[in-house]
Amino acid sequence: MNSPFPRLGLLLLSALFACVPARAGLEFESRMVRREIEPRQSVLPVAFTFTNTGEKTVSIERVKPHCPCTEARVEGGSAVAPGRSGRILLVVDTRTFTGTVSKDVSVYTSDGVEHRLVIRVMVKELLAVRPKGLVWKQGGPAETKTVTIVLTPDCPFRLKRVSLVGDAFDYEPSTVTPGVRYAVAVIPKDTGRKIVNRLLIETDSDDPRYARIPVFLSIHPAAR
Amino acid sequence: MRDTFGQFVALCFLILAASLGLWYADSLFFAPGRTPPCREQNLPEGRVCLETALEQWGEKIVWIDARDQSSYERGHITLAPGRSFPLRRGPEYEELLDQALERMLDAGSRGECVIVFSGREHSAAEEIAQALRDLEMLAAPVYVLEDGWERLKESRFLVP
Repeated sequence: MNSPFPRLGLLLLSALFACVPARAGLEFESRMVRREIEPRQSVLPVAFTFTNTGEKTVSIERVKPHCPCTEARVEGGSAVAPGRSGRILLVVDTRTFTGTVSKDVSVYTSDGVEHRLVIRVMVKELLAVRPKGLVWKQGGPAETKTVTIVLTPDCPFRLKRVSLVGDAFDYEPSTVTPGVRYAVAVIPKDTGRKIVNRLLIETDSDDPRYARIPVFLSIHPAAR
Repeated sequence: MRDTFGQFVALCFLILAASLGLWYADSLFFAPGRTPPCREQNLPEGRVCLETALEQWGEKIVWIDARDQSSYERGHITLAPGRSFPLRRGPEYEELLDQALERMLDAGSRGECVIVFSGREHSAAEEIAQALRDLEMLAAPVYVLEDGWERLKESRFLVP
């Protein structure tokens, strides 16, 4: 009697191969784009280039920026044939950006993949405060550390005041170059106890990004 | 033999029909609300998948919630004191950072990391994470949690 199992086995094997999907997918040259912009730049165009490295056509079903500040469109058509390339073009409204800002965009394709793209924007500072935090070791020497404030030549505002929130430190502002460079020397009164205070650097700017910049001061056992 | 084969074919068609029906129902009702799996190799620098974070760091994580106040009040992770802190831009930023800073400074000496999360758009978390790195005070590494609060809620690990 002939056994049915070899034929069944062949049938199951064929079914298994039939279920293996053909390889398909968009590959992006880079998933993160970094850009440095001027403080008063209001618009930033960015492009992400992709290629279909698979064996089947892939369609871009939706491009979703995760911020209302970003507009997106697809260049080269939403249906991408194997081997073809295209670009996702984005325009970012950067008017409210300060420091380093990241914005995400999701790209959904017909093969069920969500591609996550990131734009990292670094805004050149009109007013640079360095460092933004100072730490002294608890029980260690009460040494003087300096905060430097630098205003760019086209900075439209001026330094108004430096003050301390807390009472664990003494501080002394000084002018290095009038209108351009200032320094604030900070020294803890006593490093015996753990504490956090804040130095506040205030300007005459109406822009909340520049009106008030905190520098955090800490006495901590784990300080290096 | 013919009967056996016929039954086999009929079963295959039944299974196929049931699979298609389940797939259709899933894509229509459940998939839109589901967060796609996190792929570590696709993440930009400074981001981490929840699964990776828990595997590598376990409980040695200080969680920073960068969501807005109303989102925080609607629900937030509940852990032992000193394990999680709210920290968001706005008028309360400096005071919130005052409260969290000591614990984040401790994290460095304890071999812990700091993970910041917001929503799936990540903007708030990225901004707070960058502000923490810019302090140049923290020895602990600072990461942004991929998919943020939505991922934490789905995992139910930290959210009751």
